[in-house]
Amino acid sequence: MPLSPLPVGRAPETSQDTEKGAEASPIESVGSELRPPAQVMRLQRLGSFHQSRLSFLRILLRRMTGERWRLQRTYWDVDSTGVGTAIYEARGPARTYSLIAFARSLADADRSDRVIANAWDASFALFDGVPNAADIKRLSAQVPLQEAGRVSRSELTLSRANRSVRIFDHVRQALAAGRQPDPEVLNETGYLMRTTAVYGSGKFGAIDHRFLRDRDELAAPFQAEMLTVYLIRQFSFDIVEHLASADAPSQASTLAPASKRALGVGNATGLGMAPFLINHPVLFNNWILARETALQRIRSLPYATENTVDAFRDVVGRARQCASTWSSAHVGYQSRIKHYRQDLARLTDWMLKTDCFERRFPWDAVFCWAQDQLSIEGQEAVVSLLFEPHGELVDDLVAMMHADETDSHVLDGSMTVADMMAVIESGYASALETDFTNHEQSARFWYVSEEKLEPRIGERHCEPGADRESPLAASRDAVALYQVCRQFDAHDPIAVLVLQYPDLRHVAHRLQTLMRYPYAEIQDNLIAASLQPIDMLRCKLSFFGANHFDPRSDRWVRITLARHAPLMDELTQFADDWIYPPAA
Amino acid sequence: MTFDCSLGETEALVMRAGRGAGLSWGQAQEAGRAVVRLAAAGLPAVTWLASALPKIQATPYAGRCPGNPFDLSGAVANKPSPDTAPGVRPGLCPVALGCGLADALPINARRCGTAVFEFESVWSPALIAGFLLPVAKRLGLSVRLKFNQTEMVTMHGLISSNGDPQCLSIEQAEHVLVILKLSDDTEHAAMLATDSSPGMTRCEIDDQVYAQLQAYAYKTYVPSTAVTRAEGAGAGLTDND
Repeated sequence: MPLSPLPVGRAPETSQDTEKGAEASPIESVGSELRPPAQVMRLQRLGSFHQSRLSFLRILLRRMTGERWRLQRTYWDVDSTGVGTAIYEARGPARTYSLIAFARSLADADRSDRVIANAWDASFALFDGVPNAADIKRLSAQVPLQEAGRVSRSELTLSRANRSVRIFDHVRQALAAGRQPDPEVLNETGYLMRTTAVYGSGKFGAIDHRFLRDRDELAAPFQAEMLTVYLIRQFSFDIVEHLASADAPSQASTLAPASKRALGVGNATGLGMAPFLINHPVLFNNWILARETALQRIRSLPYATENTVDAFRDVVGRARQCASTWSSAHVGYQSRIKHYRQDLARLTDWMLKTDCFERRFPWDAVFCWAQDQLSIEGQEAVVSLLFEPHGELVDDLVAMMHADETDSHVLDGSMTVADMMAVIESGYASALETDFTNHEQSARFWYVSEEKLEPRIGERHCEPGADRESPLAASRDAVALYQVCRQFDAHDPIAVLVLQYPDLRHVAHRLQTLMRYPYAEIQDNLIAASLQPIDMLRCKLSFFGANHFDPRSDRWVRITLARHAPLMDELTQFADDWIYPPAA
Repeated sequence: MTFDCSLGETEALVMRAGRGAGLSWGQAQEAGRAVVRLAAAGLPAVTWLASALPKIQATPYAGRCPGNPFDLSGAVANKPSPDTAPGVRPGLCPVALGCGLADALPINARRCGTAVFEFESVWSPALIAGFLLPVAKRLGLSVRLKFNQTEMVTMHGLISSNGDPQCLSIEQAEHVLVILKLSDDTEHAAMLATDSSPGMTRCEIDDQVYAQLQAYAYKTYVPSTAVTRAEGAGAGLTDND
């Protein structure tokens, strides 16, 4: 049963008892507060989130493993130059989904990560069911066009990927020579192919998500997109082996399973992902609330079992090993990663000395120590790590991570101006103290470029286009609404205000909608000169299940998904915590 | 020729087109949602909205905005201001009117009995039902919209209409009545019995209407320059990975 959002300060009840008995209710006075939004909903913290058991790719693999889905390649017609078509089937207990891949081979100079690119090494559609010849013919004409084409209600996602210049040819040449590629080269990049967009939910004619959410396997967020990425990973192995075999039919080898597992799918994420968190605030609230609720349940456990302590020590060790392969050319992130490694080392040392596991509320002690001693990066890593040995407390929270966004809120015009002002005073206090006439506070504007409709950020005071600004500056607009409210009588209905000031309708609607959702609003100025959009990107990507964040600027980040994941024919052979590879 | 669009695409396109024609972001968002509610009921609401956009663009907000829809005292017929562009018949914007009425429903619902509003010269009046549907459902009201020898009713999340479809699609109705009252079980049962709305999951948009909406939507996009192309989105122009 889905959990409904609760006011901050009260965690949902859990029926979990500990192995040491239930002399106390699981929710006691210590740690019965959820972390306050003022702490959690700051970009500095949101941009330090790590993947966890509640990340969407892990949710997908957990389901496919538990339900014993059958994944296989069912069609391969690719020539020696890498041009052709492939189909991968994912057969679940209720339905089958097919990834159709259209491969081509680009010249290096034609390869670009940008949304404004026009050609890719491979393009994909996730089909609802098993495609027939007519479907494949239709899609072969449309899918390679990507944004310039159209898909139909039979398709769930539309995506594309490019080969990694860094390692694809190295792997191809090694395999063609009959040997395995250099593991260090594999580890340095972590993927053979990199997606540059994965569109779902009604985009370019695909089926709307609202018509899929009754399907159990698609109820959790972005499951179709995660399945797409997971199958693209398999395609990336198959295409490099195919080309190596074409190069040297008599001596080419295939990529060892261990090498495949060490590779995921890359993704180049720009600003396209950032507006999502602002435009889907109730959904975002539910993701964060699930995460915070999981944390709170664990903190509230009166005792720790020997098994969970051992499992926690083990996963911390494996996380340290994972951290050793995380690198970035971004100067700021180099420092972050260094502190993160130091944090995990300090955590390890502390756990050897602490007796907190012998006392009550041990996990709360771990959490509090991390909050006190570690960087924000380390703190949020500890939050994710605490989830690992507590699947029975965490995994059911997936059920609350969705939101019905169709007509879920309609403006109530009877709300008084006074009540609206109170909402702004309580939820946007720091915004009310911000001078948005200050250039630094209003330096940026979000917009959509005419060129391929690519979301971008502009510099308000030196670029044209601010007159076409997207309505993504919630804090500034809340302040504007507050100032207009003061012109009205306290008892006037807000309906009168928005009729006279239609430019404020969107923010009145937003503020009213979000009253019940404490984790819906990012509590930073999203048009400030100091904004680091990669914080927003990383937050969303952490929920996807990404790791190895590698920013290339303040608004562009490379990541990997499905690295260390089991291969599609060995899902049931691996534990759910595959994302932390076994200790070396 | 038509475009087969998802409902999400339809909503986004209508929102962008509305904004491009001069609606505020908030009203444009409401227009997108209202059109999709009607389209899901099998009604050609995208075309209705498209026919109103040129008039919306040509008329300042004060000229197309209704008066206070909460005033039940004098039953003064709300009519458009004469402040419109030459060559454009004055009229009331269905988006502003629909938003205003929907906002006012919770206030009016507290007043017992039947409430009647009259409006003059409303562009694409059938659109109004799309704005009123969710609020009427939440408040347990039935809302009747009468114009041009036709009638639309919304209650309990359903929409029905009778009369000639061409009458429903009229581009401007000189006299529109909006009648609110608490719905009763008999009415609801009758509506369910006659509900033949197909529950559309897609929206077929005439390709000329689609092109028109795209033209308005493009007014919300910012032309690209070499600098903004290179720096605005973050990623480089060439692949070096």
